Amino acid sequence: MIAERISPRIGGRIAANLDGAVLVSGTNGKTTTTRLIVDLLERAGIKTVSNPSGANLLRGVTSTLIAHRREMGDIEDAPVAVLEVDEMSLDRVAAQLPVRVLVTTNLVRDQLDRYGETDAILQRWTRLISAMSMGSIFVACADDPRLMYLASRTGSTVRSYGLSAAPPLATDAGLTPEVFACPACDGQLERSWIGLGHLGDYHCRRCGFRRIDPWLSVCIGRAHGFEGTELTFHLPNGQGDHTLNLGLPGVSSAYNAAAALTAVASLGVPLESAVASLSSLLPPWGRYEHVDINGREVILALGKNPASLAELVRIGSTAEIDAVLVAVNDAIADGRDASWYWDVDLSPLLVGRHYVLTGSRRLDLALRLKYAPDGRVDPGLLNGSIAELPAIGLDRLIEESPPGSRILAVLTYTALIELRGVLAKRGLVQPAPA
Amino acid sequence: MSGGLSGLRVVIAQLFPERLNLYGDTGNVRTLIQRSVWRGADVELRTIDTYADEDCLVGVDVIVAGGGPDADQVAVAHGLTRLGGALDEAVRSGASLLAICGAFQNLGHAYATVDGVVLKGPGLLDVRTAAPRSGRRMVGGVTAVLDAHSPIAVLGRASAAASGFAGQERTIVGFENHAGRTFVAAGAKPLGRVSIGQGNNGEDRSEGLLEGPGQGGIAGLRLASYLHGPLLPANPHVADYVLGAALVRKGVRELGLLDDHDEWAAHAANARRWNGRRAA
Repeated sequence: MIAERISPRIGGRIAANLDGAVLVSGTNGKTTTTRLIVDLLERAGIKTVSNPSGANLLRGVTSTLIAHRREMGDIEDAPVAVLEVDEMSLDRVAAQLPVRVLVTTNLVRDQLDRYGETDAILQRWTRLISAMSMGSIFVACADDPRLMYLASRTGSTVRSYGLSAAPPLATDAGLTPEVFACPACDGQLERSWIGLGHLGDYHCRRCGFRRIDPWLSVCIGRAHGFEGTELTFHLPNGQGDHTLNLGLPGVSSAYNAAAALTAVASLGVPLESAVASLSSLLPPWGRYEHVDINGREVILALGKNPASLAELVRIGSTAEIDAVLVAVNDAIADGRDASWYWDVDLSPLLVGRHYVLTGSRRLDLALRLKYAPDGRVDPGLLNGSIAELPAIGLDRLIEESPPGSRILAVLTYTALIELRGVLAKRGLVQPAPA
Repeated sequence: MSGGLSGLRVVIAQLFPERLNLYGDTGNVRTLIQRSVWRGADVELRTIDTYADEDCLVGVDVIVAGGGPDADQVAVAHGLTRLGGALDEAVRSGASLLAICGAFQNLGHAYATVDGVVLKGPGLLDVRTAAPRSGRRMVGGVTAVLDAHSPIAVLGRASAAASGFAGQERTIVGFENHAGRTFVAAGAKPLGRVSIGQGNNGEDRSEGLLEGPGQGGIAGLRLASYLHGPLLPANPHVADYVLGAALVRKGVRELGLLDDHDEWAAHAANARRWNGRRAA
């Protein structure tokens, strides 16, 4: 792989043939937020070019843009590039593109063996964001203390988004929130409410660093399991409140939608029409994708780190779900260290339901369940609930569940690719874009 | 389940969970709790934050401290200073100490950060940690071999054999991810020797530290390791050794066997996994 060592360059002519770029980065929510921005821009009549979610390193971004130019040639109506970018590649990608909007969703521990600690990403982002040009807009989650500390150090315009209040919640997935120290002074951060994981309200007792009211905020209303959530957006500048049903579930989807709205508003799209478009948008592949298999409804969901897994436990524990497949792989793209799911108590998702544990770390996953707080999981249930491969496990659940049942599949990244690949071969889903 | 601990109260303290829980180390606490509960004990869990009072460790049986991000280690060092002699006193009076990764580094005599700053530690563990070599983290699956006479291997023999995994008690498995290089002092012993992975420093094949009860004039067991995974669930012999050593002063002579088939199965699968990767 010599090509990987030579740093690819996005040619000046390719960059010049874009109507600017929107970059989306962060630990969770990159793919969905990118897809929502693309859809909202297209509906507003703005042409876009975007990368598939698996191609979010500099190499992938470059080949997306080269392929697009080859296909389209020099065109009058230049598109806006809307690009999902890996956290560690963000500075290199940003250096080569005319960035109009930079969106950061959140930053939380993920794949420590690959990225190193979260602080390493933060250091790179600090340099990038301090150097951002005046004309560009930095969109960040108001509920992430480290991102807002970053925002306080940029010369460009900052537009933040966040929740208007604590979400109505059930179920504690037992996740220990990661960040407690103040990013400004290392003092103790007080939390009056938590939105999701480490996101929420905060203020520092020592130096006074605190959450500021977001430019655009969203209030989470009634949840409809994996079907979606009722959301009320509070638009800035007296544009009022707008309530709609988003077809994507959970607090994370509310954050992603708010991020996308803030990003498209930063490109001049009127917010009222963008909000109106939101309710009819579909999720990207493999993100809460619903698949009909022999009359059973299977929902594919990505659970790739403690925060995203805890979110699935939270939604799934109260949703109408009959059976659950949990697949944990430890390939390089998953993170070879599979310790992370010990941070989340899976038992609220599995108790009282059929389930199968699968993936390369299925035996460790079974141990995780065995060691859940006493009485929540019957150790006898663990026997016979293990399958080697995700597709085998899913077939078993389909066989055991009557037609009309709903099966949730919680998958790490390569398990999702693997299972979806099998389903595509059977003609049950469209193949993922390469 | 055997009721070898019924009527007994076991107190477990988790040190600085908000800072020292990098990827699942809290699983060590869950393991100690469940293995006590399954044997009939009442368990009290105390979570100790960096702002806790000195008396928070009074009456504690097992102290568990995990790994944290490099950037938090200064704060952790301050927290340890604040706890002052409380930690030292608890271990001297016979509590077991389990220190993973960052805590392993912080509780030694000295720890040099990436920036070259040397943080003084309480010296509860007889080790020193040198600054990382630039750009070189030690990351990957680990299998470490225990000495045949290691009390941990001796303790695990019956359990592994009863589950059909005889011989697995001679190894520990886990996942390391560290930059600091830790060196065990001349008079002290490592927990094991790596057969796969880097271990304490990538040089001498040592992994972890085992200072048994009474060693160095300190009554409590001190066991340290770089291994996440977390360490205890898939290494039930290590878990029971830590727990058992702490309960001797409460009159417990034997913990009694649990059904550890799932634990040893995961242990053996991981050992095979790391082995396969080395060969690849």
